[in-house]
Amino acid sequence: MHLSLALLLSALLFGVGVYGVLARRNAIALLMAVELMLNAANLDLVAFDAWFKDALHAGQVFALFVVVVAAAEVGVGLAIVLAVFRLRQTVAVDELRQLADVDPVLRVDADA
Amino acid sequence: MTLADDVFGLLGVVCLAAAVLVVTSRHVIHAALWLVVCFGALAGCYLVLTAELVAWVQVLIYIGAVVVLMLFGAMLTRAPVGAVQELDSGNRPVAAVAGVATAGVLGTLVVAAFRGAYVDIHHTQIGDGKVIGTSLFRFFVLPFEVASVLLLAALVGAIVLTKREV
Amino acid sequence: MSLTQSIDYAAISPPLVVVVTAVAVLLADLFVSAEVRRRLLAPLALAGTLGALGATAWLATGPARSTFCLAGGGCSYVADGFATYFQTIVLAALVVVLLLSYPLFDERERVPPGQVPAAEFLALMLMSVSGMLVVAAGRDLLTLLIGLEVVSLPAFVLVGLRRGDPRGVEAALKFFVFSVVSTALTIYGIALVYGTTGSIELHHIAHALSTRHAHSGAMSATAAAGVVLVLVGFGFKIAAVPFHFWAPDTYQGAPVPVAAFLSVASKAAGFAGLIVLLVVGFRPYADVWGPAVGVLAAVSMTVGNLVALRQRNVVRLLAWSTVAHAGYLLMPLAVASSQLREGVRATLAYLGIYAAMNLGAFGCAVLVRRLHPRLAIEDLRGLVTRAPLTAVAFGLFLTALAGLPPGVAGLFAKVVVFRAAVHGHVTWLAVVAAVNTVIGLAYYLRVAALMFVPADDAPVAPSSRTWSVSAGVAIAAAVTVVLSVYPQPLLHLASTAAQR
Repeated sequence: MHLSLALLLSALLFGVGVYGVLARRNAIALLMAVELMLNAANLDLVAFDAWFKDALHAGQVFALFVVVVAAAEVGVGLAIVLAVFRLRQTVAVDELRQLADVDPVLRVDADA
Repeated sequence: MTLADDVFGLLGVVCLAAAVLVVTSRHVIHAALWLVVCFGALAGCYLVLTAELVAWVQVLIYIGAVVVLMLFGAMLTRAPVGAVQELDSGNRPVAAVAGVATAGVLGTLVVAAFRGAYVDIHHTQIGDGKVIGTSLFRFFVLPFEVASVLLLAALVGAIVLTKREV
Repeated sequence: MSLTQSIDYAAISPPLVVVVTAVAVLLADLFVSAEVRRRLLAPLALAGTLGALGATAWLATGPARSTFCLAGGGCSYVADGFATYFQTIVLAALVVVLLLSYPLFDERERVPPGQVPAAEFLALMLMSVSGMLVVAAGRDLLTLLIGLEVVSLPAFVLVGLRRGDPRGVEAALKFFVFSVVSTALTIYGIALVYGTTGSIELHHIAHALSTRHAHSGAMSATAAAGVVLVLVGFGFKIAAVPFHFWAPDTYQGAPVPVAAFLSVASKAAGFAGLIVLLVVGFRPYADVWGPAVGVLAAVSMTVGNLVALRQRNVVRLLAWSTVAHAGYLLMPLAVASSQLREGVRATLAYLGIYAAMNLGAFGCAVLVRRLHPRLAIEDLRGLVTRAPLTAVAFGLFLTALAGLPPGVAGLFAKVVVFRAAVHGHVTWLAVVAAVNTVIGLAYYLRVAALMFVPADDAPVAPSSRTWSVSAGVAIAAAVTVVLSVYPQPLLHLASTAAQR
């Protein structure tokens, strides 16, 4: 089959992911868009591997590692999202403004 | 056009449509379910490309673990079951321009660079468990070992952040 | 051919010792009571770090060792002078950070608000460091990527680990989001580089980039796109503008010792990976990344310094100052093909001095936080009468960061990077940096001067809980002073590390 077919799908998928990352404000929906970008990269890796007939199968092995990285990231990411939700009752990333340059920065936090 | 091209194209269209729905759906839960469709279609793409093990890992880890984790996350943060506007920020037009530009530039580049490149799927070594496993342990032992630290850190980190003994 | 790669355990001993220590800390936590936990676990972590430091020093004296080699040449892990130089900086920084962190731990069974669980904190920090040690020695894209993930993933948790602190978790979420997006971009870039070169091993990539694509415009454009995307991920790690957005918020929300850790150790690891990629893997594309790195350097130092001018919080000020310093660190790399070796040497030397003075500055922030929890710059007024030693040390580190006497080490560092830039014919960048050094003087000296305004407060007796912090600051101060009067050994080490 044509290599460019796979590469084109990957590029389009990556573009969709970029849109999602920029457009989403819900942390979980944002994470889904990041997964789309990672999958786009994986499709490239696997397609190139098949095209090269890579003796090391570096592309496919790399794709497996990307899956591992994604799983670890999602696990920790959701833990952080839950911790944020418990303390702030929101998962909207643009509502988190306690730390910012516009802030007077002179607020005393509870544990201080 | 061969059969492989047709199958791949079909799966690609399904995957892409599902991906668009993932990033535009107004329900977190629906988005997660469209993600399953997208990942499933991608697993099919991997099978067409003879990457057998990657395809099964895709199904097991991505659909079986990652999406389920996200559904849990959505439920634990009390995702509204109905449609909500709040899922998106105000800069959707900017995001759309950036997304289209990225896809356009990368798509043009790769199609121009690899025009005519042909994957000979009938004469490649099938990437099954034995082949990939051999390659992994013959050539990529160090990343494999380091990945174990990554998973341990993820385990410890996720537990310590979420346990409620404050 | 045997089924597995042969492993030289001596070569990988530094990360190995650190990982074993991390697991030992987690296991020990299960078997000891809460009262002795703090007194046992922190020294255990410190002992492991010192052990790894010893192993690194031993490796540095011997010849370069390579392990996890591919049949066709090229090794995943190379413990040469370059790797041991970075490993030494990271491990030494970890020693100081562990001392700074000690007051964060609590003896009580239930961790109270504002404190962190000791075992998890120490284990995660050690795991993060093991990733840094691997990045410093990694010589293929897969090892570098997984190493970087091992650096970042525990760091997200460390930032948000303080109990019941909404700002900590906010900082962690911002850090996480920026990091995963940049990782995704990096991985896509790696996929493109793999596709255009056929390998993930850096020497093979360099070979392929230099030979195969001289004729195909689209192919080399794709490879260049891949190179740029990979560099974005490292730009994030070193907090260079425009990939710096996470840094001020994350540093401010994190426990201050963790901010110190991120600003020195994590940045050093990012630079290690970046230099290996640029110098070994992407060398043939120096005409692509050279100007790009130059622009990044100029923008980083300018934006970092200008925004730092209007900060009112000590940690945020230091955060923006680290963004500016990322610019100074990048500057010598912009010389690209001509005189690249001297450029690398300058960056390495700067990094060593930067580590000492920046750790010291953050350590002083930890000490000040005991007196003034808000850490507002205005609170520093008259610090010299309340805490004379802290004020003197803080003054030393701030002048060093500015590049002025008495912190002469910072001046040496600046001279080294300026000389590299001028020799490498990127004089415009040296001019930008000179202007920036003057801007930097404004805010560093403003803060330093504020501390020495006479006030009629009574001296505050130092708390017994901060002796370890004082020890950490003292180490950083000693190193800064030694480098101020006798920088030759460091410069020599940097030269050897750059000879590859």
